[in-house]
Order: sequence, then structure tokens, then C-alpha cells
Amino acid sequence: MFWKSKKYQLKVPAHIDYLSDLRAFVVKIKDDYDFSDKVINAFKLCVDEAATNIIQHSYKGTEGQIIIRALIKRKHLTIFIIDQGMYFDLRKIQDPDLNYYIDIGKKGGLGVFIIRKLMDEIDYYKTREGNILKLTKYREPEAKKKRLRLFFSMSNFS
Amino acid sequence: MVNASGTKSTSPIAIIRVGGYMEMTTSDELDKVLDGLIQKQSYQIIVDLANVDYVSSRGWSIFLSKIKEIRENGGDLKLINLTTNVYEVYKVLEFFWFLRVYDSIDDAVSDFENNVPPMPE
Repeated sequence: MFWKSKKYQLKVPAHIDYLSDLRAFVVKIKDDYDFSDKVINAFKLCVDEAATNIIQHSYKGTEGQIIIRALIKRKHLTIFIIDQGMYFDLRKIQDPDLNYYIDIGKKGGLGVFIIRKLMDEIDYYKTREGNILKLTKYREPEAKKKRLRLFFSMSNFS
Repeated sequence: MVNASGTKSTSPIAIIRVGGYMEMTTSDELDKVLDGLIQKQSYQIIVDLANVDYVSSRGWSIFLSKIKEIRENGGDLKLINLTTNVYEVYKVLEFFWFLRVYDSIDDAVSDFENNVPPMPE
């Protein structure tokens, strides 16, 4: 069957009151394109974390917009989260030392860690449209194949 | 929505039932409830996540931020009834190194009553 990729978009004010709209956008994709609960749940969480970071760090509480755009392909789902705030490359944030966090009773600081753990691919770049965070997750059998390929390519080096 | 209650009037075990999405607002509410229990020196705490579909980073970090003080006082914070979605994230993030989960309230209460250490040595 010929598969045509599809695109959807939503624009919301950069405010925590609109996080539920962003999550609903992701759930709608599940309903329409039969992605697994695992994939959609991961996106719900990561979109929420990324948007919270944009509100807190990129716009720093000032007014702005967040655009969420979904690219639906046969083997994967890619979601672009776009803002016009400060450039904030979350890929440069190091994974937290959880033992240290527990030791000092730190609250927060796990959002980027969660995105990194749950997504298959993360990219971040700046365009005329704004800062773009690109998150991709493969449908389950594809994700497994990808992990296996990575494992064998790493084994070849050892 | 966050509700706290005891198992029985004489039991030292506190149960917190959380509902809906555990995002920023709900997590901060939970934070206050946990602080209240710690202030009352109630260190045996069970958090029931049966009605929670989603725990954000804020929620997980609230759990992690409390366990040191709770365990230093001989208690523990145990999570029960995780939904599939929440359990999946718990596994991927490898929080099993830090927080113990149970399938039922009875299992969690039994560990408290038998003084089972919070985590294996």
C-alpha cells in the first residue's frame, strides 16, 4: 500500500495552561494513525517536558507562542516543537547524577533526561521560523531493529 | 488531585492517593502533602498511583527528593498500583534503583510491617 506522510500543526500560547492542549494533539495522532500506547505515551511526556522548558527557559515567563507540528510516516512519528524565545540546546545538558540529586533533595532537573531516554532521535536547530526541537520515535518493531543494528555496530568495534 | 489518609487509626502508615495527571501543579500539591507528613514524623508512606496516567519529571523528582530524609528516619516511600504507562517510564528511566513499586497495598504494608529494608543492600 502506498503510504503518504501526513503533517499536522497546532499553535498555542507559551503558558502551562496550554500543556493539556499539546498532549491532546499527540493523543489525536494515536487515535488517527494507530501508534502504540508506548510511543504516544512517550511523546505526551516529552512534549510536556519540552514545552515546560520552553516556557521556563526559552521565554522565561514572557509571552510567546509554541507551535507543535507532527510528521506521520509509516515507520515513525516525528514531532517538531517550535518557539521564538532564547536558543536553548537541551542536547548540551548532561544527564543528571541521580544519586547526587537524592543526596541534596533536588527537585526538578529531570526533563531533558526523560526526553533523552524516551526518544529514539533528538535534533535541535534554529531557522527563520524559530528554534526547532525535533523528536522522533519509531513504531516498535522498527525501534527494536534500530537498537539491534546499533548493538551489532558497537560489537564490531569491540 | 492528591488525598492523604492513614491505613487504620492506629497505623503509622500514611497512604496518599493521587489522581489524573501528575504534572507541575499536581506534583507541587503532592510535595506539600509529603512535607506535611515528614513534619509530623510520619515516615512510612505509600503513594497509590492507580488513577494516574502520567507522571512528569516534576513528579518523579518530588519522589526522589524526599527518599533520603524519609529513609534516614527509618521509613520509606513506596509506590503502588502503577498503570502500564507509568510503569513503562519507571522502567526506562531505571528508577527501580531508587524507588520500590508494588502491585498492591497489602504487599507494601506487609513490607513495612516486616521491616523489609527499602532497597536491597
